[in-house]
Amino acid sequence: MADTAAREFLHNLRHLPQTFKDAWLRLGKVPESEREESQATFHNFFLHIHSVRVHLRTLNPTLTLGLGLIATASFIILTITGVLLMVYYKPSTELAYQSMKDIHFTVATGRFMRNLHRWSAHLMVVAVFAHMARVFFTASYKKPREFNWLIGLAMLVTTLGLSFTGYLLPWDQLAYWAITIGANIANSPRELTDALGITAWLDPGGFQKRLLLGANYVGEDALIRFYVLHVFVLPLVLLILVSVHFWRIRKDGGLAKPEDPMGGLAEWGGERRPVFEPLATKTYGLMAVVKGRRPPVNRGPENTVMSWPHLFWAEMAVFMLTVAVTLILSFYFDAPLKEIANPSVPENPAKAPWYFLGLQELVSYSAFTGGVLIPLIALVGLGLIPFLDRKPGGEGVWVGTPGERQVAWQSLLYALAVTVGLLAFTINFGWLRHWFPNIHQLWIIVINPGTLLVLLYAGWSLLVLQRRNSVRLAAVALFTCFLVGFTLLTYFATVHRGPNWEFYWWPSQWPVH
Amino acid sequence: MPAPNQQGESRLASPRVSRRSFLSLASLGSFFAAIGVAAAGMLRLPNPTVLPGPVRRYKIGHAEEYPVGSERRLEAESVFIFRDAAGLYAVSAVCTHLGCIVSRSAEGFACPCHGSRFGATGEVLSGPAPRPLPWLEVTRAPDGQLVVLADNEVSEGTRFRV
Amino acid sequence: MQDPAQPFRWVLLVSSLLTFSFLVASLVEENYLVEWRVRQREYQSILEQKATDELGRALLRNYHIGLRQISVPALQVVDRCVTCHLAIDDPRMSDVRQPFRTHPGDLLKSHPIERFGCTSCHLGQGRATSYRDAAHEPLAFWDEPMLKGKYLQASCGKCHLAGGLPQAALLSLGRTLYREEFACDTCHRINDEGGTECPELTHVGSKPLGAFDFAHVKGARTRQQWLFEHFQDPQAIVPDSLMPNPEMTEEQALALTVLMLSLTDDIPPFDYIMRPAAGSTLASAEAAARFEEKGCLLCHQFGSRGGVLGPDLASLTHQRNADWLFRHFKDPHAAVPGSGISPVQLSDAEANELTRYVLSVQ
Repeated sequence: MADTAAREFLHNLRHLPQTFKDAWLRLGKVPESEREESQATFHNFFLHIHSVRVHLRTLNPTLTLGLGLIATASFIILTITGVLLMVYYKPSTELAYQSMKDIHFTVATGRFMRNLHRWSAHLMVVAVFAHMARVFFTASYKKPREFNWLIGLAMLVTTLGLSFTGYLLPWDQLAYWAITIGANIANSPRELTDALGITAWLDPGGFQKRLLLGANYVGEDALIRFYVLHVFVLPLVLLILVSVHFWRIRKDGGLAKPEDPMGGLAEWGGERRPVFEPLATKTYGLMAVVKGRRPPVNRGPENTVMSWPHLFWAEMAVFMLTVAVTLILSFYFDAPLKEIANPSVPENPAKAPWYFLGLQELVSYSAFTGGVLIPLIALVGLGLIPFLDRKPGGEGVWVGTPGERQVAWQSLLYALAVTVGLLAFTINFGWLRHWFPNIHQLWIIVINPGTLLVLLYAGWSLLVLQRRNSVRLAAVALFTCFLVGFTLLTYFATVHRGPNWEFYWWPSQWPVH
Repeated sequence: MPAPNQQGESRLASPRVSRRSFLSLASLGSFFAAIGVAAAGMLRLPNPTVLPGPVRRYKIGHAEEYPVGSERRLEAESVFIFRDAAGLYAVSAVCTHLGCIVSRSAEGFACPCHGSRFGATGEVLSGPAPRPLPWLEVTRAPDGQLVVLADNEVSEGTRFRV
Repeated sequence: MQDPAQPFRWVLLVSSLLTFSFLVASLVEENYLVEWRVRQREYQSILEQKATDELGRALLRNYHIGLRQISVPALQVVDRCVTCHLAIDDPRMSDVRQPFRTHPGDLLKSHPIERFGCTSCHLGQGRATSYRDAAHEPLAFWDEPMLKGKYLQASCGKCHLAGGLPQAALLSLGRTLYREEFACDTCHRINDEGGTECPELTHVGSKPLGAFDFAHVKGARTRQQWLFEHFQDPQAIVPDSLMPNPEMTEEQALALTVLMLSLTDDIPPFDYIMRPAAGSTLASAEAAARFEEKGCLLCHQFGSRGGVLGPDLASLTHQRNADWLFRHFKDPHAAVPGSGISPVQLSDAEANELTRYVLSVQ
């Protein structure tokens, strides 16, 4: 008895490497059949968010440009480098700046990690805007993807929030004054309540600013609030939203695509291949009860490929491409760090982070319009798109509706012309307060370059709606105007605004101080 | 309709071409190599390259200033310096109980705070102190002066031979 | 049918190789090629040349490559200068090239680096680890480039607060000129002394560069340059200035610039300040007598004398500072609840002097 048990024990000990490996890896080898490939996907905790088969269009780089993946990869890089930076960064006004210097000068790989964090932050903001544009222009927000579009908008706002809260942490002049501007933009409802004379009873502006800063000034309380938001609250929120976003992609049937033709031949991958009739048997068990337009259950898996390995090659490739680009940028360019924050020496010009500079330009005309009204209009407008444009068609194809390309180009030129024209006008002739020094502020809130641009864009969009008789084309017109306006205003405020927010052709012309 | 072939191979898979397998291996290999180097860098970061805090190296003059049998107390640094026939040694004046500074007594050292008493070599005679007073490393600085490295404890009895 | 994953394998390969290469390059750069490591390897060969005696060989044996810093929390200083200036206190290296040369003069004897650091006198960016970032020359976004040459005397004035200092002739001259020849305090104010019509000078040596207007300054964009040119011609630097042209020589302008640079908001701790000896009213022998006369030594040990009932006063100063000692002298039971001391009446002046005495004997 004891003898056989001893032998059994030794036998198990000898086979330990094998049994240990088997416990970890169900298959233990590279999958060789489709069944094994599908198991590799849905038996894995991390991978099973992916569908087992994926449509060939998903792998087409020119369709999505991999922008969602780039944003996700940037988020992963940011999380990892962020945690590493947290080992040394100290969130107190006395210690923050010094800890940044230490990270840069003495921490092993510190300079590199900080640069990685900064550049992938910028890349992520660019990627999420570009991703939104891609989704719009491929009409991928249409039913059943409206909810995912809204989740995406929430993620846009969260990403901007993450970038903004992180901006303060170095506690240098750049950080301090950018957040002072930002907090004053949060305070901008004051312009309206003051003009209406109701600030004493209703002061959402002051409330927002105090909530943000924990005080009336940017100081220790602001720093710790921004830190908590930046390292814990907002990343958690974004993680949850990302999870919901990916889940919805599955439930909505993968990436938006035009319907595959039923029967006959279809052109794909440079070949003409037969499209098959329904299979006699179900190929996938449980998935049959799931509603939605996934790789369909009652049709053959034409035009789809196994996720393992094709999709995972694609994801790894985009991930490493993002890493490589960010790494090379970090190798050559240092993230900025100016003098330590000094409340008595304002930066001139004091500029918000670049993605808010367009807003800052509008704020320079009217705080309420630039700070509250227009962002709200923009967000609500964007959110309404999938609920106003509901006619199916053109999903998954760039400018897929007839006339879309033309409308987009026309809108681009139109938006360029009116925006540049309006800016040039205000630079040369000023605005209401220059001509009528005693005019009531309400007039300026209602009539300023920001509101005028909104009206001009909206007017153009309505014109397109009527002339072309298409909601989608009107949406294209408005969205294109919005993109052009955003980009142009951001560029303008970055390059052409100097000290005292005056117009300069180039930064080299700024006066020496 | 072409069904999966007898081996259950994916219909979309071309016959395995050695060139493609090489690319698969090469790309996966370089992927893991890159991730590996990145992980190494990440693991390196938490290890400080320079320790914070004041440098506890105290210059105490030249050996000639310490004749055999002499002792001196460094007030600010809380260290006693002794020289006997075998050489120079430094004993920390920080009581091992709760960190008060001990004074010299007839038998060795005494702590004014809670009454710990230590012998001439720092060993605990009585009181709440849990362990003997540490001996500190004595070495020589570039300008020839003796220097006490208060962050380096040495075993009791270690002397700097002059 | 073309394998749809093929292009991705190529992208993965290329981007992974790029990532790998740049990571390795970064590794090599940080651990081998970075400026301070190069310097430390150069120094090692110098140590080898100088390892001709027991001390030299011991120093070479104990030498290691790594970042070094002097941290002086009392002055809020963390200086990594010694990472390259490795021989700053090694007298054998006085003939070696920079950065390996010994500190000139014998200032380090009275100002050991462990107690003062480097940047408290030399300014510059102490936390940096390269020549450029240490602000040896004026550096963007760093308001305190290193003080060079005669300007260095300004730092003496931060602790040597009043009167003349033979080793800082320009500073002493500046102080005299300010009070006497040019009577600057007619209009300008330092601390509580002087007029209020003109800008206050109390912390002009720390005024951020962003608060100066360099539009008309001809030289480098530094504090000392602005001040120097301003002394030579106020209206040229500040067009609508009310300050009459003082018509001073270059040496006088230099001396006053040094004085201005010494007026910083860098307040040194009590035990660093060197007030002139004339300020104290009790020489230490008298203070010792006062100690005995008041009966302190009946219970307290002090130096080699005294009783053992109360704490040894000679071992207190690292736990107690001047403020605490003063309060204790005035009201011991408030300072130490449950104290067994029988209090002695002391006037403020007496308590002050005894505080200074206790501190000075540490």
